Amino acid sequence: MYKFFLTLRYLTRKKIVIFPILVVWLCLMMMIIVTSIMGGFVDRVRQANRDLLGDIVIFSQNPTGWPGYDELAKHLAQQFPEIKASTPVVRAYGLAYFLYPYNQTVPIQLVGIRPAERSQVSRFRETLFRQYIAPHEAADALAPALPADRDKLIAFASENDRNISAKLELLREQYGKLYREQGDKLHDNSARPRQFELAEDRLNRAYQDEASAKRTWQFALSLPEKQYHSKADLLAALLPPKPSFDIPPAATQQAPDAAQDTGCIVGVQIGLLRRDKRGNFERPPDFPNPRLKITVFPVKDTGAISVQSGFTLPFTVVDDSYSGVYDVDSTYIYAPFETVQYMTRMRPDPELLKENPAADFPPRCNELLIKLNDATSANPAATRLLRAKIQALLDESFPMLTVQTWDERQAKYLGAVENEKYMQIFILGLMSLVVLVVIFLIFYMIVRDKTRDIGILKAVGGSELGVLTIFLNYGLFIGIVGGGLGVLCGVAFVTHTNEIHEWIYQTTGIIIWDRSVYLFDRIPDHVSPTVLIAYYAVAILAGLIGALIPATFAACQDPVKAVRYE
Amino acid sequence: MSKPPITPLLELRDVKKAYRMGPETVQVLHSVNLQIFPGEFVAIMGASGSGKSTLLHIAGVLERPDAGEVIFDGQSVSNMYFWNRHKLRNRRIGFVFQFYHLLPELNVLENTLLPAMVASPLYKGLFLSRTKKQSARSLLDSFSLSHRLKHRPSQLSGGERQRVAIARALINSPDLLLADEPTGNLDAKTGRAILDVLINLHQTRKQTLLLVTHDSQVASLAQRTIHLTDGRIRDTKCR
Repeated sequence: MYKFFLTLRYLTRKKIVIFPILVVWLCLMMMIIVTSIMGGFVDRVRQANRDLLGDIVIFSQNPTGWPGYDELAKHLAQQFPEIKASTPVVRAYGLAYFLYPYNQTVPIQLVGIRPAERSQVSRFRETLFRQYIAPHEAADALAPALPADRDKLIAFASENDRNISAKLELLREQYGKLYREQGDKLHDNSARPRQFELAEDRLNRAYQDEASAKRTWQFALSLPEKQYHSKADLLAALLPPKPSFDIPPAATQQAPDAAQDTGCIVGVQIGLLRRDKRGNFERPPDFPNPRLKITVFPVKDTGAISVQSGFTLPFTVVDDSYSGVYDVDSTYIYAPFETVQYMTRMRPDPELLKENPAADFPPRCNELLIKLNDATSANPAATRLLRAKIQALLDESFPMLTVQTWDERQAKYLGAVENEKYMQIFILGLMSLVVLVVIFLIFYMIVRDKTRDIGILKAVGGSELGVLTIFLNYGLFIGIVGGGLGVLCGVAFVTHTNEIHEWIYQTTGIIIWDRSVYLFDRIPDHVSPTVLIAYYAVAILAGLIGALIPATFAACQDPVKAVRYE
Repeated sequence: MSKPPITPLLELRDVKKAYRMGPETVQVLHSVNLQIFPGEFVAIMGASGSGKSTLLHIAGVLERPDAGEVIFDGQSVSNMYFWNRHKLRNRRIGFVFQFYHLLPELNVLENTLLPAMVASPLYKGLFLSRTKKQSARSLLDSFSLSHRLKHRPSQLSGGERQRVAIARALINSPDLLLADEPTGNLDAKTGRAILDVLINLHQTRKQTLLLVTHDSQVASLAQRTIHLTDGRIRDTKCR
């Protein structure tokens, strides 16, 4: 009993206990913040890569691809019931020239896909702004007016638009006033008043809101005449049945030449949209359809680029895609599968075939993406096993094909991200060591300070185990309390990290995390319960281990020497 | 019919003890033989370094002798398991030190109850018996400390601290009370008061007392005085 009683007394009457608690608290809080935020980025990168590719990728080392992909997909689906869907992909490097008003040429990868199939294999549809994100945004905005008919929804959207426009007007006036008063400082970055930054930020957000409200209004106008009861009703009416490259009529009205174009979907970071510091892409309220010309250079069997047979076609942008994978969003342009096959000479030219039917050859593709059923997909070991089975099957009839899981295929990027994770674990390990050393030192000081008490305890019958227990209890308490506070504060910080960041920005004008240069527009703010439990256990363990050596030292002290200790 | 012989409460047989002081070994006790009987008040006298404190520590099972045997109430302490030694020290022996050795974090009542707490397992200790607390209070009351129960050692005078230390030593009603120069750190008047407390204990409760001192006046109060010189018992005087 005395062990617990003395532990309690030492804890309540020795102020030095605050320091190890503080060390455990701060270190654990820091570990939770770093792991959650950095780990959150790593997880998002992994998830984005997975969403892009599905579960398994079959590809050919030969740049000219391979024929018979549809038959292969069918055969695999028959052989392996775990396969839920598959889709072929053809890709080529090229240049995209964006016509007026952009007038810019950018290097790109032209990716031929079947959009509906691709959406079954990956989360391609969810990356599309016009065909998925904007309709959802509109349905969210209109949801408060439900249940309602079309007219009521239009009136609601129009009213909302008016209010936001009025707010925008007010902000414009405020900005104008600020400009008139301190406009001379506006272009002097060193003396630029922070009010400008904040006013611009408010204005920027209001523009975004206005654009969104106008889009919502347009969506409301496009709704069929009927009664809408739920958000699902709205989405059913607003979402296209499946993603496509169809050029909207508005685009051909604005530019009649676009009627001859092929629709394409561009990566969101390809340069058409500006991004603000909050990570939002600045989109105009309507859906402009830039036109571009894409030139691709087919690759020969030898791997060399066939510059002479460079092929150019006009395209019109029908949507943009935000996958979260930078390489993809900054270089990919998606176009219809058959069109890209044709451009890359992986499908015969129909005109040529008319003249020379002997020039026919089976169409080819570069990759076959496979989506597995949910149970297999969620189990990495099962996915790898299936990959091995598919590879074994293909080795017989398609020896030039390689089968990889999504993470093996993206190993180049994920490897770098994983390395960051290991570095982070290493740094956290060092921090834990520091915590251990600090606890050890403080306990050593406490034990030295309590040497005589230990002697007295033994003189009155206290055992070695009893003395050990007192100091281990002490360490346990430090771990429990310090760790508990660290967990609470860490969770509070991580879950409010975006709000804290916003507050810092509003108060000081400092942007610590400039979202315009990151893939994601929110700082990861999720804390994994597993991480919390593991770290809390580590904190308690650190308290115990840090206390163990000094406690053992205390327990083994000679009571006579301890009593005589000055 | 003759009376059965009285068993000594504590017996030291040929006890030897040496310490290493750097490269040298100093023999502190040379074949000491000693018997303390129940209810006896024995003083050990000797100059500094004569080995009297070491003798007391060995008698109190705080230290093991290099050779010889310590027998407590007929049982050899040397052969006892360590937990029985702890138990013996806790239940049957009480210590009073020259420098009081109270725990500064505990108040007077808590310091007094410390050996009782050591004796109680957790499940009992959480509800430390009222009787124990009551006996601590009355013990402290008998030492005129009832008004100091909640005070910490730093708030007490030297005499008060030593009385708390005696109360702590007595809380488990030990068979043997060992006092290592209990007045050595006190002025004459306070020292006398402390001795009165000890003599009173001996007289009223028949408390067996083994007291170490280098003060002949203090030693003269004991029934038997053992003179220790260079680790050897020189003579024994009975009053």
